[in-house]
Amino acid sequence: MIVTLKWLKEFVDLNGFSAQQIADAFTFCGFEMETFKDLSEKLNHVVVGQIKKIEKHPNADKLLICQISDGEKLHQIITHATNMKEGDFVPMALEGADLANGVKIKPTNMRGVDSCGMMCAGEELGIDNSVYKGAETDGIMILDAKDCFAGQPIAQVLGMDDVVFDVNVLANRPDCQSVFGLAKELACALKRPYKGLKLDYNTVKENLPLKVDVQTENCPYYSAQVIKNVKLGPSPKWMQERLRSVGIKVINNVVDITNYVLWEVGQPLHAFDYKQIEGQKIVVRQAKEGETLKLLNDEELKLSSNNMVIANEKQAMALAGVMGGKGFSISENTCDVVLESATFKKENIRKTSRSFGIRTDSSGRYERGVEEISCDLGLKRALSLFAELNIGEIVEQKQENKKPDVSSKIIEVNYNRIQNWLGTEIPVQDAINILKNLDINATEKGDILCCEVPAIRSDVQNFSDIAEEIIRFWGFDTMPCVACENTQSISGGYEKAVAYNMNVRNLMVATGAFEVNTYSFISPEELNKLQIQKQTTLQQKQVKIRNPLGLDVSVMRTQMLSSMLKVLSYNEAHKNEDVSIFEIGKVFFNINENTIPEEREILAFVTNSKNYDFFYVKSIVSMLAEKLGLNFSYEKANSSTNSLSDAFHPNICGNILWANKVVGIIGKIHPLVCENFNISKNSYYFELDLTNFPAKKVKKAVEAAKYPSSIRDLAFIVDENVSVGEIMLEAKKSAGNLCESIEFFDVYQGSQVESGKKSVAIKLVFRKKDGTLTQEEVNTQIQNVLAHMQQKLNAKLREQ
Amino acid sequence: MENETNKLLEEAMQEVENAKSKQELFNVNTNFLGKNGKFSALMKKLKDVLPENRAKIGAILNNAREKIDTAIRTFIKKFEKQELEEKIKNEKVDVTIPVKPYPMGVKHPITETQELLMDFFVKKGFTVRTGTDIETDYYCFEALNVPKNHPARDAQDTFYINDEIVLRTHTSATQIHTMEKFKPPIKMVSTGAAYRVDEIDGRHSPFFHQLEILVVDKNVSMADMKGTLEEIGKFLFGEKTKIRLRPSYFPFTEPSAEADATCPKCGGKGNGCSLCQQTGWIEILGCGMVNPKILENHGINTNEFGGFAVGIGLERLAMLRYGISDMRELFENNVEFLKQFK
Repeated sequence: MIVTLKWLKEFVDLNGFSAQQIADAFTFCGFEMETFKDLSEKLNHVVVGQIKKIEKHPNADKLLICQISDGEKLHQIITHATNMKEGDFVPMALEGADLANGVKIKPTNMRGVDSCGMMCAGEELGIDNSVYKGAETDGIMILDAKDCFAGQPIAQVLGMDDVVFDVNVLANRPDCQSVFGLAKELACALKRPYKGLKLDYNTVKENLPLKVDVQTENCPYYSAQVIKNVKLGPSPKWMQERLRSVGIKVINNVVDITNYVLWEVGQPLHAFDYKQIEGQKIVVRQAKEGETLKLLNDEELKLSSNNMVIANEKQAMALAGVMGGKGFSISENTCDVVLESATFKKENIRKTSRSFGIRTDSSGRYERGVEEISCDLGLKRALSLFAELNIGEIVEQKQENKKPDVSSKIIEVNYNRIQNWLGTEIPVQDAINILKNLDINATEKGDILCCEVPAIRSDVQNFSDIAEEIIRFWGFDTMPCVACENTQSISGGYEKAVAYNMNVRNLMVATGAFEVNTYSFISPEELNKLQIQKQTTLQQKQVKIRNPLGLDVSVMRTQMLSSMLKVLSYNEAHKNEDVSIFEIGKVFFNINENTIPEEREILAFVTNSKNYDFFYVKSIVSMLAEKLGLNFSYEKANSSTNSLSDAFHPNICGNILWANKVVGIIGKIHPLVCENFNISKNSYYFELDLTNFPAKKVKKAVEAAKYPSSIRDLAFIVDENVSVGEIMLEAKKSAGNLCESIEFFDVYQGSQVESGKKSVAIKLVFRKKDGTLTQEEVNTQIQNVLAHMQQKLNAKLREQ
Repeated sequence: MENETNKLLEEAMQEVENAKSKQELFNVNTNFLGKNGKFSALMKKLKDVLPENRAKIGAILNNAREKIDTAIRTFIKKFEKQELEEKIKNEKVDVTIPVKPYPMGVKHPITETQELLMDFFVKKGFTVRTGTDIETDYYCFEALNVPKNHPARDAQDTFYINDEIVLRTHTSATQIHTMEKFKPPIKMVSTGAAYRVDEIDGRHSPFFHQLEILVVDKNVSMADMKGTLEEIGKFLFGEKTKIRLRPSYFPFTEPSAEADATCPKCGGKGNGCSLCQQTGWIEILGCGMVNPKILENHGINTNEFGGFAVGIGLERLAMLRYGISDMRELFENNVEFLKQFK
């Protein structure tokens, strides 16, 4: 909300306060100052001068020497310009001026003659014809002798002796979307009284027939008043200056009055041409399906029954609360004006404004909420301006659908409760005074404060609102710092998932990986780049955002892989080598329309390091399993067991299983996927779904072994398709209870073994808890293993 | 025999002393004390000695053997010591040669900031809770006193999945879930990702992170909130930090405020400071007393109980802590950028 110092001064005496003090006063009562700007900043040291004498320069043909009066003394200024004559009033920039076009004025000497300043063109002052007629003239800007005097600061002449404040008005204060509303707050903050609005006008008895018929509940209150014989023309200079200073286009006196009131009181008004109201009846109704309306901006709308219109007996004349229709508003031929002042439900205006993408000063205010009392105030203020400018006859009769609700409401609060809520002692009389300055009449009845809240303050509803009003102006400085000293002590901690993720994150950092942070929404194209098939869950269950910022961030991801590959790609593009990164991120799966989607927390890791291979990456997963107390097993992955596996090298990709379920994937990225993401072909990835992993249990300690172990190394020749995992599993099954552990230590394929076969070497560790093993005991087990392996896997012991 | 022994002893001792290496000593050992050594030969003669002298001569022999043995051992140690000294002399490391540090990874600065604050509050008895990123309109807005079409929804433009399901615009929904499940006293931290329709630029991101706290207990007042904020300020920016409150508006709280801390760069002096734009203050968070309507909705009697809530943007805080000027750097994940947070 833009307000200016001059406009605020209409309501509050601000003498003695600097612009900075006013800005701070706003900020510290809850209206944050975005910016403020002194319009005259670039006009300092520029005054009105009257040219007394013009002579030729003795040493230069194209220069003139002028003697210019500032009302007290003469200034000698040399110029190239020729469009001025003796007696003219001109803007004169003197030493110290720092002009809008960047020129800094200091005394100089031109061809042997002193010049102490400069006469200015409009451009040099940063203005055009809309600010001052004649500003765009070629040469010096000649001022109208009628509205200036020698020595007058030029800012005053141009109406730029003002400060513009951009105040942030938050959603709870629609009443402060106005100069008057903000002035009241400022008055209270600066402890100065405020002056009310000028609302007086005379009326004429002779009426023009007009009826108001409200047919929709979206319009709680509608009023209209007729002004006869309106003399259309430009509005006065002061009104134009005001409107311009807050950024509103000046049109004509009638429209300017409606805009002026919109800004000053916050009440949107609309002026209709009485002639155009067929049947002399204003109908407020929902639009008919397909009804059309051409707006003032020439946009042609096709309306639906969700939209509300102001109509005459035949057709829509305006899109209620948003914009007037073409042909029904004020034009050169308008003689009598109907002024509308109404409230419309904010939901309806909001919807309409959004659906057509049309936002106006009027719709903006209706969306935040306009009170019925404001309609009354706004209309009266507008009529008093019609009277003040003397541009028509106001007919006495106001048309309305009902009496506006202007009654104040009573809120009774226990004052101790307010002090307890604020934790601050504030003498009750001070509180009452603050409330009084806000037009809230508060009286003490024992402990109870009886507050009479004016209708315009619909945001004040209960004791905490009253508390807020008091603390806003009392300030936070005397509020003590207690820091929950009197609260009950409870033991805090981390929710399981938070603690779990923190632990995993610490472990991953210890592996040397860098944590990254990626957006949870991605492009639907990414799954295709990963070669994920269309009918998979990953594709089908994507959650789509209805209003995304762009296609590239339009679906919630169902996998972490593409996010990680994008980061890898970014880093490779920036020539970062040996990148290992991880993230614990969320993936999302659609369930159905009425349920919030399923969310899973995934640890994802990717590396392009030349030093790492599949087994290094697997060693990280194994470390996690150990540290998290989880038993993982692995199997070769394919499309049917894991649809994400299509993004991986078909022979270098495995499922990670826990409790017989696939909980992750590990593998080398498919070379084609690497191409799609512009990353190196030696990239390995793993992910783990952390969502269901249980917290690690405290393990019971086992005594260190007392008796020696017996170790046997066995190398088997097997078919090359038999996996090491199978061999170890079968060995374990047949090695008996005395076998403490089985470790893999070598796999060999080459000239030493038959083609199509491979040699796999494992180490079996045997131990007894209660004694030393005998050779026979171990041999028996080994024989079992050999027989079993032969039978199950056709494995033969490799001869040494 | 005694003489023979003494002569052998003398001979052996001479050889021990003359030995120039460990190997020569081993040879001496073999020659004199070995199975086929000179002493073994002498020992064999012991059976020829008169039985009454046998013990005495035996003792002399053994004595001599021990002396030689001890001498050999002593000299071996001497050589070993010399060898070790020689070896140590040749083993050198220039400790000033630079190395790459042990390759630990690094946490993302947002996580680092989040964990820092979580830890601070957990030590004060708070419980950290999370929630889902995708929420119902009810929990994200209506339960927080923002009905449909409320203008406050403009301030946090929302990504919609459909009319009733949204990407949460803040982590406050977790506070409602907590109040539904637990009775006061409540001291909780809710943290996680949040989403708003904001184009990406140096100060905005449509995906960001929040950390909020909620306290509900008997007699909790706004002064408790102010004190807590002062503690946060001091914890984050040092003991001298001061907090300043400015009234504001959030539908969830009443009264609401925004808190500024004295600028950590200029210490609140302001003059010439680029971080606080010469004001001496930087905005760090939003806060307020939980709107009594919300407490009452959860069956909490506001005559007796009060509560406050504080919301912190983690990106902004991380940027302040680490002096990052452009928010996009936090999401580009350039490892060259990230590694400086080790």
